[in-house]
Parts: sequence; structure tokens; C-alpha cells
Amino acid sequence: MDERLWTDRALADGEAIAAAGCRISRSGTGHQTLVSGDLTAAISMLAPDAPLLGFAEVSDTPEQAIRIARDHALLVTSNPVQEDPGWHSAGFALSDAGNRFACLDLAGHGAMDVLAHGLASAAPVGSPSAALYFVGLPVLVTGTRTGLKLWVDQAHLTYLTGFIARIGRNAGPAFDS
Amino acid sequence: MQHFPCPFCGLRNETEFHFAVEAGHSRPEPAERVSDAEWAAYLYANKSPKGESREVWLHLSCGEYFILSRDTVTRAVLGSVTLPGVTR
Amino acid sequence: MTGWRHQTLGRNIDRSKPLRFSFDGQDVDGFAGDTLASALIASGQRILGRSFKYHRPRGLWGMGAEEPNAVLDVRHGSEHWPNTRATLARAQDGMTVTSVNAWPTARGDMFRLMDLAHRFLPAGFYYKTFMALPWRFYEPMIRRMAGLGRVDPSCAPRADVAQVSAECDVLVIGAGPAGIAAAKAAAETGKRVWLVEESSQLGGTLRWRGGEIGGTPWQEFAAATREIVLAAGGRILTETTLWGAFDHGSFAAWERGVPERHWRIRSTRTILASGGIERPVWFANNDLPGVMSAEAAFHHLILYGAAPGRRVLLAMASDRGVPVARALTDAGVEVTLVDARKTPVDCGVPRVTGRIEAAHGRRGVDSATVNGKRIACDTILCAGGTTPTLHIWCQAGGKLDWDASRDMLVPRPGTAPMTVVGAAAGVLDLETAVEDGWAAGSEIEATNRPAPKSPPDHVFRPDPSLPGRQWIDLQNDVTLKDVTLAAREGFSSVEHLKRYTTLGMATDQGRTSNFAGLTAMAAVTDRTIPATGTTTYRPPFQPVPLRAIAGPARGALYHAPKRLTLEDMHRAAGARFREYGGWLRPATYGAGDETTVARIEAQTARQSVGVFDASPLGKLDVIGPGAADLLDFTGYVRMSTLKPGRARYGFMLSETGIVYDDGVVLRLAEDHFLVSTSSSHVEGVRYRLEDARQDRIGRGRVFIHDITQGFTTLTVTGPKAREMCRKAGIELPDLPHMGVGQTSFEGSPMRVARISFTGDLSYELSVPANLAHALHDRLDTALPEVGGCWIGLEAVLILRAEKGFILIGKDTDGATMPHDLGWGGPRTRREDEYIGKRSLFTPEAQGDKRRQLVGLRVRDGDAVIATGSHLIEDQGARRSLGFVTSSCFSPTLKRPIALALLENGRDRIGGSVQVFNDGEVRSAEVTMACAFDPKGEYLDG
Repeated sequence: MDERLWTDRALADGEAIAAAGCRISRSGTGHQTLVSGDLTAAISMLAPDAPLLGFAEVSDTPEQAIRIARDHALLVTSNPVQEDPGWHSAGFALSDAGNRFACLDLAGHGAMDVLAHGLASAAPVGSPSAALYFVGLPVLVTGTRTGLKLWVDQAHLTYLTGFIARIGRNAGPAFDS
Repeated sequence: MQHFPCPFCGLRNETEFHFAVEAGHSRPEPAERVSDAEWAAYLYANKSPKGESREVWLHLSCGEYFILSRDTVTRAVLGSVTLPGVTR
Repeated sequence: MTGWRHQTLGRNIDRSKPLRFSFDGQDVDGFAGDTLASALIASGQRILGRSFKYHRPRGLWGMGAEEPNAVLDVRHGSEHWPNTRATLARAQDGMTVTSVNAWPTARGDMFRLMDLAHRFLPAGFYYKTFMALPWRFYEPMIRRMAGLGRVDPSCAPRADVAQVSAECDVLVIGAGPAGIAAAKAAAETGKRVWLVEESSQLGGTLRWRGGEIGGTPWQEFAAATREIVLAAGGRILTETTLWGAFDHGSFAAWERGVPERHWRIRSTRTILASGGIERPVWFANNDLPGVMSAEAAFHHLILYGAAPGRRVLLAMASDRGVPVARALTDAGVEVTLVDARKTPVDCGVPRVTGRIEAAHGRRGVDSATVNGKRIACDTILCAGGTTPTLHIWCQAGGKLDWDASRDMLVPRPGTAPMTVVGAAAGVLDLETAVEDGWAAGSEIEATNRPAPKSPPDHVFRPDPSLPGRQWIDLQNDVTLKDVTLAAREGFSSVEHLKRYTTLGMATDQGRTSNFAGLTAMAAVTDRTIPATGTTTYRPPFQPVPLRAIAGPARGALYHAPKRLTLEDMHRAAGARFREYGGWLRPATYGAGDETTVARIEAQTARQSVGVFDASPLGKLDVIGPGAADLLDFTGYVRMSTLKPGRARYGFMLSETGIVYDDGVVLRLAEDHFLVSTSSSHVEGVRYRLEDARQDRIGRGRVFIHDITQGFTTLTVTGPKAREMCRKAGIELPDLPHMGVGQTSFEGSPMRVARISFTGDLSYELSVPANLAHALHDRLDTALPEVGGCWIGLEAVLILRAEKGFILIGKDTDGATMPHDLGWGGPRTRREDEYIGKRSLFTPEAQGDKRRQLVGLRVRDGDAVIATGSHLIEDQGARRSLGFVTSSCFSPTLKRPIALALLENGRDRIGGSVQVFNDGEVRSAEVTMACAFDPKGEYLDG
């Protein structure tokens, strides 16, 4: 494909894709902060009510700590955190992640099925890390009461939109049976 | 499609991992006292065992390096442990 | 015309829905539910193709994936499926079906005379011929004649096969009686069972043989199984070929229906109930149309009402052929059994004791020689025995044992992580198969039952003493004589037999031929069957179209580049995009010849100001008390001596001393650095930093955060950069060159770094992505006021080339070390350990013929030197001394400039070298890499 002809675009705010028992739309991301080190100390100082979430773990609080690794997490808060970026003597490092991640909300009983369309093997239910590879892209997966949320580096959003739209077109009527 | 156990994240499919190096090779230092032969052996000489092998692998999703023991013939996974220095 | 449609039989067809398709130009009538095979048989069409080598007429043999002859080219609407097995393809109204390897039709093939030359065309003939003339004389003709079917390039395969991953507790492969029993038993213990069946229905052979399972009619049992499996959270996939067994309990399955899907299934436990395939019987001309598997004839009669003929000989050596004979007789076919057993059992069907020695007929069977006597017939059915289908078992590493009492190769227990039941395990008795399936599903040990006491009364084997040609592999046209030829020429290992004769290498993968080949070779070389062995089984179990595995990854969904937050703004400004380092970035802005536009943009940037989007450049936060230690160890240039608020250019080497990446490091605080990486190396650098962090410095002392995509960076470069920012309402902090600070933008902090990739006064402005559009607007408004413009990557590449600034991987290669680039300082001075240090002092690294970065200047006009040109000496033997890495026309210097890696380059500065490209030679002067402003006077604006 001639690389000069890229005209696809990312899912915009307010738009939605219907895909196999699921409705996919842009979700707000709040303020994003990356923390590493003593996660307990970091969370209690920066977002005391935020639960530390593993793969597809459900939380409907606006403040969340999405666990990426043993000692690394993405903090999502409604307001900017009060501490400055850098090293904190309580034992953690903090970075302003700006708008690194875009978020797609997958609402509906087909959310896990949509996920199954982009994973190389079955979803790692129960994994303490929310990070995995979906359609070849590194993403974070959290749970909501109605489905899932996919957090992805925003430069990948266009590709992800295109792929999920294709999943929606391919998945047939008998999919949920 | 192999499945490897990341010590933190649990069982994940092989596309999330990257082979780093054979385990058990210490970096010869300081440079001034390392012979060409020693350094070349560190860089290139591998045991490449037929059977049980201890290897350092990287889990790309979480960025953790760890030791994976596996059988290079049957491709059975024998276990994984963290690198030294991990407290929890 | 031999085949015909029974008035009432045909469970799968719907006589209220007739359909019509064409075969080789002739209309064929059928019904909804027919396969192409059943419709063709029922319509009387017998010649379905021509054989691969000898172009002999061929007809239908089987009923499933083992079918070797009925390979057809199918078109329907705009879709095209070459090499489709007629037995697995559903007939649809309006299809255009053609035979392959025949012209103009299978019936009237022009190449049928090839068969007359068969004596000159045995197996491997091509190793001994085509030698008189050079190969290029033969190749076009052979390419045209070889192969089956043709690809039509105008039919692009669909890109819509969903790739789905799944998990289950128990995977049951095959829904015959054993498989259904296993699935039901497992589901009743609450397990999530996935039952995968290649055909469109559950039941296996019961669908035409009938029978009861556990006292209930099999249809009821199958329906109950379906209910229980689904209720327990399992799934039943029909028309799905499970084509590969992979590591750690992973399997691949191709669901061929609508919608078409490709599954990656991971199971905790696996039960293989894949059944068996009927063996042929071997006699002269056993490849004629009308010679068919008895089980297949039974299958087609009951399921589709398609009878193969009216006067049938049925060759058999066990009672398994009896129900076939009875069913055909009931349907009005005249059947004579040819029973090879010495003590056959009477079953009410006319019978001859003995064997078929030859089939006769020109285009199909019209008679056979039985015990020396000619008998008229139109069909010969072969019930030669059963070969268990064990491909998946063998793919998973399972071994086979020869069971002489059953005359089969059966699984050796414990050699693969799955349980085999039913015909696949050599168990042909229905009740036993069901019991074994049940035990496997319930995870109970199967009752140990003794093996049959004695070997079968008679086993069929290819007999070399029979006159005439006997076919072993129908699809690749391999005869028994070819097997003896291979043995005679020393190719007696089964792996050699396979490759020398091509036996078993066709698309049917030897399902009806491997056993015969193996037994024939064993007999010829006087070995036992176990000693002769089998060939290696590899996926796929059945040919799988590439589109089924490629899925949706096509065009924009194939390896797409990353996209800028400001892409829409750049497009609105007229940018033309290209992929750079995995990102889609503006190459130039506006219409016109790209090279010219890029030069004008570069010129504008040098003279007033240019603004470009530098967001893809990696940004890694390195934070913690051990941050300086980490960077000192992983970097070539020490960063621990860098003061907060300042930036320094450095390199990351591999332990081999080769330059891996370059970039500027900013120090924001004592324990906080920001490492910039090449846009394509962000992950690579991060993982190398993590390696040192986790394995040396201490994972509690330093942490690495990738914040590359959190921020948009716009770089304002040129003598009017400060003025431009002022006009844009941006208050720049007072920074020295290579200084970093902060200012406010729309109430948020904005990082400002005074770093120059162009050689001019340059400010990198970074804001979170949600402020990117606002920043873009401000700068966009101010640009015309200072006579500046947006510049694309092409212009930036020109500007940096004028300064001799390198691009990793373009101006460096897999051998370039830092001192080759003129950066020998740290190598000489550093006493502490760092990655790559020892490698910088090997004999190779200290050699005097190293390729070093230099500039090149031509004086023979304005023509740009071709990138990649080799550098050679003025005189003497031609040898490449290096090559041109970057080259362009410099609008600033108004002449061509180039960078190159040249052997001993720095010593050659001031001298000349020849530049060789595509036969042409130019002379060039060797200069310093930096062509413009080597003192850096323009950095202050």
C-alpha cells in the first residue's frame, strides 16, 4: 500500500463502533502519571482511594492505579497529582505521562470476545499485570461494570480503531452462541 | 504457541517474550584485565545444551528480566525464577 | 454415464431446492446440501480430472480430505477457489467449476497422449533428463505443465477471516461415535468441552452405517451431547479442520463455514478421535474412474442418494464391506463381492472368492479381471482395510507402533500429551470405541482388553508380481514400479522414497498412499514395517489457505506506522506523508516536486525560521538515586558530570562496541534525567536500560518511564527562532546552548530545550498532547510574520546533513564504533566500566583500516552523488573502501554534499577518492563531515 495514501483515522470522541455484542467508544483518560518503586507509598501519597488493578480487574472509581509490572503502574486521576515529577524519598519515582494513553471503552457482553479476536492465545485472566499485547500492540486492560477498557499509546489508536472496526464486520451472528 | 511463566504476570504466550541470553555468564571486569579470548568467550561462547537449559528471558509486557528453565528438545517449560534482588 | 441419483435416499439433500452449476462447460444439476462430489457423481459425470504426470482420466475416490483426484477450480461470483476438494465443497447455484491439469476439458484432455510415453517418465525422470540443452530452454515449458490449478491474480482473497483465541478444559478432535461419547462424558463432569468436527455434522460413520450408542439411536445421543456440551459452557465447531498441534497444548483450527474463522485453541486435556481412512486395494489400472473407496460409496449413497454405478464389484477381506454391499443392493445396484479371505463368511450377497487382478476400460471401468476371468462391471469398490488418522498425534511428537494383529500403525501410549480413542486408536468395533471414548472423557482408565488373538485372515498388499501398472499415489501419479525403482537406485529410506518418487507429497499428503508405499518398500527391501518407519508429519493436516491465517492484516491493517497527534493539522497545511522510523510523518509541505520543495523549506529554515514536529523522538524518564550510575554504565559518554538544567549528546553502545543509538540526555535534577532516543529505538533503548537496572545497578535504585507519546514536541529552528516564539506569545527561558528549562503555556508547564539538530538556534517545545493543537495554532499564526514556514523531515534531513550530524543506521552500520565517528574521547579517557568498553580495545577495534565518517565534495557539477555508491582508489585493483551513507544538494552551500564511511577516512581528508556507482565513476574530495559552520557560530542565531 502506498504509504502516502494513509487516510484512515482514529475513533473520535463521541463516535462508536458496534462489534459482536459490544459497543466501542472513546473513554476519558483523566490525568496520567507513571509511578515506579514502592507502589503502596506512591498510591497513598498521590491517589489514596485508587485500587491497584490487574488484568481486566473491575473498578468504577475515577481514580485507578493500573498495574503494569511488579513495581510499575499507571495512575489515572481526575485532577493532576500534587507532587512533582522525579524521585521521592518515600521510595518511588514519578513521571508526568501527559496524554500518553488513549482509552477505548468496550461495553457489552461481547467485550471479552472482541479481546479474543486480537490475542495470540487466551486472555490471562487473573494476571496481576494489566499489560499484554493486543493485535501486536502493547495495551493495558482494565474492567468496568459493563465490560472492559483498553488503554493504548495514542499513536496506535488509528490502527486499533481500524482493526476493531474490522472485527465488528467479520464477527458473524452466531458468535455469541 | 508456547506459553512461558513470567514470575510476576503468570503464564503468557510466547509472543510477549524475548530471549536475552544464556544464564550463568558473568561479565568479566575490569576491562583492562580481561584478555581478548575471555571477552570473546563472554560475548559469543554458549553452551547451547541439548536438553535442560537455563536462560534469561525478557517479558516485553512488564519489562521484567528473569531466568527460565526449559528443555530445548521437548520445549517443555521447567520453571522460572526472578533475577536476584527481587524482594517481592 | 455411470453414477445416478436414487429417488429417495439422501439425508443431507433438500430436493425442494434444486441448484445448477457448470462443470467443464456442462450443466450439472443438484440439490441444496450436495457437495460438488455428490452432485457430480449423481449426475453421472465420472471423469473429474487428469492425473498429474500421465494425464490419465481420474474419477472420485473418497469422501473427505483424503480425496486425491477430484481437485477442482471453483468460481462463484467474484470469488475464486483454486484446487478445491470436491468432497469438501458445498455445491451452490451458479458456480463455475472446472477440472485442473486438463485442457480443454477433463474428458477431452489434449495431453492424454502423455500416458503413451510413460516408460520414459518414471519417478525421478527429471533427474536424468533435460541435460542436452541449458535449463532455460526447458523451464518455461515445465512450469506451464507442472502443478494443478492456476492462481487468478485478479481475484484478491478476502481479508476478513477473524483470528480468535480460545481456551477449554477438554478438546475433543473428531465427532464420530468415540468423540461424541468422550465429549458427553467430559461435559457431564462439568468441563468446558470443545468438540471439533471436520464435516458439517456430528456422527462420523454412523451417519451412513447407522447404529446405537448406549442403547439409544445415535442421533439422539448426538443431540443430547450437543445440549450437555453447550450447557457446560463448551462449544461445538463443525466444518472446522483442526490442522495443527503445537506446543504446550495449543492447536490451530480453520472454521470453513460462514463466517470463516481461524481459531487458536489452548486445551488442558486433549482427546483425539479422528477416525481412520479406508485403504485402497491394488491391482493393474486401479486408478481408472469408477474405482472408489467402498466406505465413500456408502457415504455418498446414504447422505446424498448418489450411487456410483449399477454393476459393482466390491473387493474386501473383512466383514466391514458387507453393510456397504447390502445398502447398495437395497438401492437397486447389482453387487458382487470379491472376497480375498480363504474362509469367507456367507452374507447373502453374490460372492466370488479371490482377488481383482486388473481393471479395464478406456475412460473408466467397464470390466475387471478376477481370478484370471473377465467380469463386466462399471464400478469397483475397495474395502482394503483401515489406516488410523494419526497426523495430529504425530505432530504432537507421538510415536507409532506396528500392530500386526490389526494390520495397522497405532499410537504408542505415553508419547504425546493426548488420549487417542476409536478408529484412530485402531478400534473399529463400535461398542468398544464408545466405551473408550466415554472412559477418556471421564478421565477413567480404559478397561484393559486383550489384543485380537490372531492377525487378520488376509491383508491387502501391493503385489509386484501382477502384470500391469498399479497406482500407489494417485495425486502424484506414483506407481508400484516407482517404489521398486527407488529401492533399486538406493533410495530405500522412507524419507528418500518420499522425496525421490514424490509419493505422499501431494495435497492429500499421502493419506491413501503412505501405507502402501511403506509396505511396498518394506517388502522390496526385506525389512519389517517398524524397521522401515514412517515419514515426519507436519502441519497443516489439510491445506489451509493463507488468507485464513493472515486474517484482517492487509493494507492499512498490515504493520501500520504510528500516527502523530497533530496529523490532521499537518494535512490541513498540505503535508505529504511518509513513514520514518515507524511513524507517519510529513515529508514536505505543499504541492510541487518534492526535492525542490524540501530545498526551499531548508533554505527558509536557515534564513529565517522553520518549525517541525519532533514528537516521535523517544523520551525516557530515568529517575532515582542510581540514575546517574545507570546512565554512566549504559552510555558511552558520562552523564554523571552533567549539571541539572543542561543537556549532553551521547551514544549507547552494544557490548560488541558497535554504536546502537545516539541521542541527547537532559538532566532535570540530581536524580532525574530525560534520555532522548531515536524514534525507532525507543523500546530497544528502554529494554537495554532495564537490563542494566535489573541485573547490575539495582531495581530499587533507579526507574525508567517511557513518556514518549505523552507529549507533542514542536521544534522552532532558525536565526529568527527567538523572535518567532515572542510573536507566538511564548516566553522562552534564558537558556544557553544545550540547556533545558521550563515555561508556562496555557496554564500548564512546557519544557523548553535548546538543542539543535539543524545547526541553527533551535528550541524544542514540549507540551502534553491535549495542548498540542493550541501550540500548533500559536506557532502557525506567528510563522508568516517572520517569513518562516513548516518544514518536513526531508528538509530536516538536509539541514542535519549540512552539519554532518549522523542518523544511526544510515550513517552508521553494523561495524561502526564511536571512534569511527570522531568520538574517541571517552574511549581514551574513561577509566570506569561501561557497556562495550572492552570491545573498543580488541585488535579489530584498534585496526588501522577502520571505516570512518567523512564528508565528500564533488566539483563536476550539481549532480548529487548516489547514496550507497562505493568508494574506490584512483588506481590499482578495485576494492570497496566504504560507501556513501547520506547525500543531497545543499541549498545553503549551493552544491552537492555527502557523508560516507571511508577506510582510514580521517587521514584522507584533503585528498581524493573515486566514487563508483552502477558503472560510472566520479572523483570526490574527502572533507570533514561537517560542511557548514564547523565552528557552530549559527547556534546563537
